[in-house]
Amino acid sequence: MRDETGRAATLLAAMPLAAIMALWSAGGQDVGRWTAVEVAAAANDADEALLGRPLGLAFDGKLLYVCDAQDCAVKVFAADGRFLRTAGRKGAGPGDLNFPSGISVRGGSIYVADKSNSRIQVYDAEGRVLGGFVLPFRPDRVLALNDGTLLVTGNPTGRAASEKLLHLYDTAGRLRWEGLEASVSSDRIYDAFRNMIIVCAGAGGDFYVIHRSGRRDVLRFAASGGLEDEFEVDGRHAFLPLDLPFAGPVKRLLGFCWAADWDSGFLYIAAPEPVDGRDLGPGRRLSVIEGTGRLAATLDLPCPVHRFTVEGRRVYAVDEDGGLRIFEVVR
Amino acid sequence: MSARPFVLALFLAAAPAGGEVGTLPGPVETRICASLEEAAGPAPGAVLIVFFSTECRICYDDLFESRYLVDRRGFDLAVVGVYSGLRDELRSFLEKYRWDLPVVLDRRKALFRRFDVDAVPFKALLVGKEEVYRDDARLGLAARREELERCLTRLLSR
Repeated sequence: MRDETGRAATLLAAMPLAAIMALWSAGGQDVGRWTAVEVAAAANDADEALLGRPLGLAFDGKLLYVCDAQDCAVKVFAADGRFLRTAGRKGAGPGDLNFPSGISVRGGSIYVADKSNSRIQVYDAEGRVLGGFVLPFRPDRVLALNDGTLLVTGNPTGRAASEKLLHLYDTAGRLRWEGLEASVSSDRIYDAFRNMIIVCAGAGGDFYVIHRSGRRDVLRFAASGGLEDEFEVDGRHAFLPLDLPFAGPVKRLLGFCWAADWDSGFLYIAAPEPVDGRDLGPGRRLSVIEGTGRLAATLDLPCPVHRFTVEGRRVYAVDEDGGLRIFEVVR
Repeated sequence: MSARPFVLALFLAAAPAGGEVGTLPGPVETRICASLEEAAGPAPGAVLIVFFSTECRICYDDLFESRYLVDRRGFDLAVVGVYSGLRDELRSFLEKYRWDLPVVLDRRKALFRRFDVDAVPFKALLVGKEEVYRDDARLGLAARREELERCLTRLLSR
């Protein structure tokens, strides 16, 4: 009996997290409770390895790419957290960056949302400039989808009617589709919060759209822009209220998602948590959500994370102080 | 929360209070410090710490405004900037604006953590080791400056 248990534990230890989750769900189990431990990351003493304002993470299976809006660069790390190099520097010329806010990697190309230059910049894995294209708005995030389509999100300005949050381009910068109209009221700050979205690449070119506050429905789009599915996230995922003194009467925002990622059939959503001295801040618990919206498991991390990406049993994250953290999921 | 673009012009016009316009201050590198202690001296009295960024005017206006306030009212205190970006960016900024007061280059954000700063601009006032004022993030920039001036007047006016 002990041998069987030991063998099962060994098998589980070798399985990707998503496979364990799938087994767990198929077995009709209740919500799983998982934890993660920190993997000792390489010490990075070089000044350029420091992350000033990391706003996006992407992992290509070998390397981790972090866009640092403060240092205006993409910082490249090995899977063990060892700093390797940077791509881009502050400026407006070819390959330069100004407040890079989103990053995605596919097919050896690194796509960066170069927010303050209103463009998408493309590099190869070594950091050489491959090209890019100008946008008629400031991009927030970029996702390279399976079929070569680029999903670019933008923050609405409130100055034009019917502004769209989602934009699909081909890699030559030709617009293919726009959709998901921004919510508009007389309070632009309130609208800015309401229109904050997170996008995650799913399977086969699909992508998910999650609102950071106010809505707990998740939208799944095809790479063509067609809405494929819409589901409510399990009520057991935290949904914290946040009363803010916007213009006019106090308005309530329901904090829903601080950060999110998709891996092997599951959405990982980090709920905000109350933080001393502030209203809400990043949380340390990830909700693992099935495609139906059901909460399959919760995953407790050793510290709150500001951004993260999941790859198998590993979670690559940046903490509140901008430090790179690598976690391994354990039972 | 307006950017108040006239503020910088106002500061530059008042620059002689901290050094003659046209007179280059000392080498920029000597004003870039590694710690608050280095910037404020071994036994500081009152120190106004201004966390800023060079990215946008609204992010660094507080630095100029703080100095302008101190010079205008003759308060006896040190003004120390804190910046977490790249050294080259800070050097260019100091040269461009002829800023001749010390700035702590806080790349590892030790001071940001110590003072629990999650957004700039942000100001805190230390008297000895006691933090006697910190910006209320819920207030607009103008209201914060008024509150700081009230605090300085109460504590430091002779």
